[in-house]
Amino acid sequence: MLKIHNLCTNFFTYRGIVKAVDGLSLELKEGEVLGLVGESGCGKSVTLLSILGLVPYPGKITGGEVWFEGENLLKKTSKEMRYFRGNKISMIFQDPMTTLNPVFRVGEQIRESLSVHNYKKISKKTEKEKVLKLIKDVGLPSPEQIYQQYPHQLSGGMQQRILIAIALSCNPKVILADEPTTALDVTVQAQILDLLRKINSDIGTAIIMVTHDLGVVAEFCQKVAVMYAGKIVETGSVDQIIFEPKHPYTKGLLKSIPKIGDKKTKIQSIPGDVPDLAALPLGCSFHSRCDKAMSDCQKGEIPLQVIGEGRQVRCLLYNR
Amino acid sequence: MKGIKILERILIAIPTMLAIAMLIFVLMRIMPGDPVDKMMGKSGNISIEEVQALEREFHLDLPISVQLKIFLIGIFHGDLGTSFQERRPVWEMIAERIPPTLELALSALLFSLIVSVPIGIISAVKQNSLIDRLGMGFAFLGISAPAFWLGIVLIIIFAVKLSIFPVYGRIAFAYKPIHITGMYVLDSILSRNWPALKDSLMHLILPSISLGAAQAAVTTRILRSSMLEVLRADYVTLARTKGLSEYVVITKHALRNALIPTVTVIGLQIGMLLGGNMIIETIFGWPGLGRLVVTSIFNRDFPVVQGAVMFYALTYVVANLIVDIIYTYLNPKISF
Amino acid sequence: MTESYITQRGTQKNTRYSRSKIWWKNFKHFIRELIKCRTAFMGAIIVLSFILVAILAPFIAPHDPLKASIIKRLLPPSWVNGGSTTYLLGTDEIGRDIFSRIIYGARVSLLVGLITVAISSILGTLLGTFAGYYKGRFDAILSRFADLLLSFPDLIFAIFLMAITGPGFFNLILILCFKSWVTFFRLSRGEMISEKTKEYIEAAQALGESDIKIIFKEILPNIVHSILVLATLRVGYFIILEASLSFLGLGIQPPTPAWGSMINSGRAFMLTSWWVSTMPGIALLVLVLSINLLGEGLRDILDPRLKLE
Repeated sequence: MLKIHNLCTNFFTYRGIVKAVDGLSLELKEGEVLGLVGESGCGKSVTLLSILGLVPYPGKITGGEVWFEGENLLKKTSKEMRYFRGNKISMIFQDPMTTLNPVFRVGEQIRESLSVHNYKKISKKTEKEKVLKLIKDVGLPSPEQIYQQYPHQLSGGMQQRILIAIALSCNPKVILADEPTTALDVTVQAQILDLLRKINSDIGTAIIMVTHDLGVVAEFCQKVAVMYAGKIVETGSVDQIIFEPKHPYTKGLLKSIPKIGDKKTKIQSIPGDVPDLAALPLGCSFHSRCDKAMSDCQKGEIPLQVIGEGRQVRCLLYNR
Repeated sequence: MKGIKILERILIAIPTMLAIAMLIFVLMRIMPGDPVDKMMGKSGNISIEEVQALEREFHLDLPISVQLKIFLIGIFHGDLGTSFQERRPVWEMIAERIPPTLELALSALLFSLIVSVPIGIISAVKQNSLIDRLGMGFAFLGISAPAFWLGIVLIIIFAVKLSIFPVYGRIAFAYKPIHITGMYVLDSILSRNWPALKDSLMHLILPSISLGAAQAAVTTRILRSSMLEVLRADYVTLARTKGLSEYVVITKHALRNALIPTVTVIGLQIGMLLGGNMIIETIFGWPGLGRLVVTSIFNRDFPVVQGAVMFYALTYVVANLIVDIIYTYLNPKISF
Repeated sequence: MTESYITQRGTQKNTRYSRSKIWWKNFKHFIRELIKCRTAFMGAIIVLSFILVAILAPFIAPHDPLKASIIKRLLPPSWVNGGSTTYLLGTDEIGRDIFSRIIYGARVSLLVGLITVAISSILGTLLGTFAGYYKGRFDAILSRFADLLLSFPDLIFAIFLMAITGPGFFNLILILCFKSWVTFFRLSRGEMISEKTKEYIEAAQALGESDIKIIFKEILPNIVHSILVLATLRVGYFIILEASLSFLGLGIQPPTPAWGSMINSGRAFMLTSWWVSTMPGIALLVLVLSINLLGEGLRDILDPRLKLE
C-alpha cells in the first residue's frame, strides 16, 4: 500500500550537504506495523516528514518516489498533498506537550482535523459528537470535560492520547509515529502502545513506528527496518531481527541492551561515534565502528542484499 | 475563572493610582524651587499681600498633611484645583482636550498595528528575503529616529515641499463637523459629513505617523522574533500534518501564540505613545492635552501641570490594565 | 575552531591563568568578534568618532558656535544655491554656523547620555544585585517603589520634574537618573535571582566565601554582559530623551548648543529654511542609530558565547 523507493532527502546547510536520507526503500502493507529503528540523528524522523512532504528548510527531497495507493506523493503539489495529510496518512510526534497548540482547547484541536477534511459537509454538531466518541475511543474518561481542557491541564499520557485521537480522526490508512513513547513514563508508555495495538487490530490502520528503543520494537512491531546514517542496513520480521540479527550494527544494538538479572556482564556499547552526516566516509558508513570490518568495506557503495523473504542486509559479510 | 483574574487586576490598579497621586504631590513639594516663586515668574515686584493671597489660595500656608488631605479628597470629588492662568477648574480644561488627544493616540496606535503586524508576519515567514531585510532596516530607523524630528521632516517633505498634507491643526475651520464626541473623524462619519471627514483625516495622517512610527518599529521587531520562534515549534508542524493550508497555519496557529509576548511589549510602549504625544501635539499644533501641558509649564500654571500629569499617569495605568486583560484572554495558561 | 570564552566560574587560584590574564584574553576575543560583526563594528566606529569630535570640538569646529551675525542669518547649506562652504550646513536664525553648533551639541548629548547611564547603571545594578541576593523587606520595598516609578511614562515624568525644578544641566541629570535606575535594578535583580539558584553559588557558599565576595567575584562577572548591552542601548534612549526635553525648552538652555533646542528653533522657519531643523536631527539620528547598532551587535557577541560552554 505504501512503498518508498530510493528516497533521498538532503539538507543544504552552510556547512555542506547533509544526506539525511540516502536512497531509502521501504514497503508497508495494509494493516502492518513496521518499526524503524536507529540512533538519534540517523534520519528516521526526516523519512516520515518526507513521506508527507513536510521537510523543513533547509531540507529538500532530492530524489526517489513514494507510492501510496498507486500515486507518487512526491510529485504532488502542496495543495494536493493536503488531501492526504491528516486524512489518509497522519502523524504523531514525540513530545505531546509541545505538539499540541497551547492556546486552543484540545477538543477544538481534534475537531479541526475533522473540519479540514469535511468533504461530506457534516454539521458542526456532528463533528463535535465524533470528537467526543474519539476521545472515548482513545481511552479517556469524561469526554465532555476533556473537550474543554487546554493542553497544559492534561498529563503527558492524556496529551498523547489526544494526539492519537487527532491522528485517528479521519480514519487514515497509515499512522506515522515518531517516537511517541519516548517522552513518557514507562507505565504510560505501555498504555499508549496498547492503545496503538488496539487501533491496529480493530481498525486495521498500518503504523510506521520510529524509535530508538528496541524494547518497544520487540513488543509492538511485526516488521523491522534498521537505519544507520541515512540508509537502511537491515530488514526482517521482528523475530528475525531480535533473534537472528545479521548486520554488525543490529548485533551491537541488541548487545548494548542491559538485561534484568544479568549482574555479571558489562554493558557492551558500540565503540566510536555516529558519523557526521555532512562528511560520510566512503563505503560502508559503519565500518569504522565495526569489529568485522574488512578492507573492502571502505570501497564503493554497499548495496542492500536480499537474503530471504522480506529479509535484506547491507553488509559485505553476506554478499554472495 | 477569568473574570476573577480581571477583577483582581482592576483592584490592584486602584492603590497604584492613589500612590501615583501621592507621589506627584510629594514630588511637587520636595523638589527645589518655591512654587509661588515660579508662579510669579519674573514679573518683578509683587506685594506681600499678593504672595500671601496666592499662598492661601493654593493652601501652601497649611501644614503638609492637611495639604495632602485636601489634595486627595479633591481628587475623589474630581476637583483637581483651579488653573492659575485661566481661573477655570483644571478638570474642565483637561476634559476639553481629551477627545483630540485620544483621537491622535488611537490613530497612531492603529497606524502602528496596520504597519507592524503584516510586516512582522511576512518578515518571519519569509526570513532573510528582501521584505525581511527592508522591514528590519526601517524598523531599526524607526527606533533610532526621535519622533519630533520625524514629525518635522514629514512636515517639510509632505506639507511644505510637496503640499499634499496640511501643516497645522486638526481641521480647516470651515469644515468643522457637529460636536458629538469631539473626535472629528468619528463625528464626521456619524453626521455623514464627508468633506469634514476628508479634511480631518488629512490633518490626522502626518501626526499619527510621527507618533506611531517608533511604536510600529518596536512592535514589528518583537512580532517577527516571536513568530520566528513559534514557526519552529512542533505544534506548527502538527498543524501542517493535519492538512491545513499554510495561510491557516500561520494566521490561526502561529500568530495566536506569537501575539502573546507581542501584546506585552505593546503595553510597555504605550508609555512612549503618551509621552511622545506632548511633543507631536506641539509640533502639529494639535489642541490636545499634551500641548496644554507644555504651554502650562511655560506659564507656570502648576495646578494644570499637576492635574494633567496625573491624568497621563492614570491613563497609563488604565491602558496597561487593558493590555493585561487582553493578555489574560490570549494566554490560557494564566487563568489558573 | 573558534576559541571560547574562559569564564570566572570555578577558577581557582592555583591554575596557570591568573585572573588578569583571563580578562585580557576575553577582551582580545571580544575585540576580534566585534570586528567580525560588521554592523556592530560600524556602529562602534561611528560612536567613537562622535565622542572624538565632541572632545576635540574646539579644534574641529570651523566657527564659534555662539557667534551670531545678523547679516549671515539663515544661509542655506553649501550644496544649495546661495550657500557657501564657509558655512557647511548653513546658518541658523541668528547667523550661527550650524555645523559648529552640531559639533558642540554632540558634547551635550553624549555627556548627558553617558553620565546618566553610568550613574543609573551602577546604582541600579548595585541595588538590584543586593535586592536579588538577600531578598526580604529591602527587596520588597525597592521593588514596589520601582513598579510605582514605572507607572509613569518617562518623558512625562521628566517634563513634570523639570517643570518644578527648572532647567539646567545638573537638574537634568538628577531627574533622568531618578527614574532610569529602575531598568537596571530590574534586570540585575532578575539575573541575580536566576544565577543564585545555580550550583556554583552553593559551592562557593559551602567553601565559606563571604556573601560580598560571592556577589562581586562570582555572580557579577556573569551578569555583566547583559547589563552592558542594556547600558549601551539606554545611552541612545537617553540621548533622545534629552533632545526631547531641550526641544520643549526644558533641557539644556540656549545659547548652549543642544540638538533638541536647535531643532525646535528651526521650527519657525520650516517653510523657508528647512536645514535649521533637519541637520541637527540627522546628527541625532546617526548617533542614536550607531549606538543601537553597537548595542544590538554586543547582544549577539556577548550573549550566546558566554552561555556556550
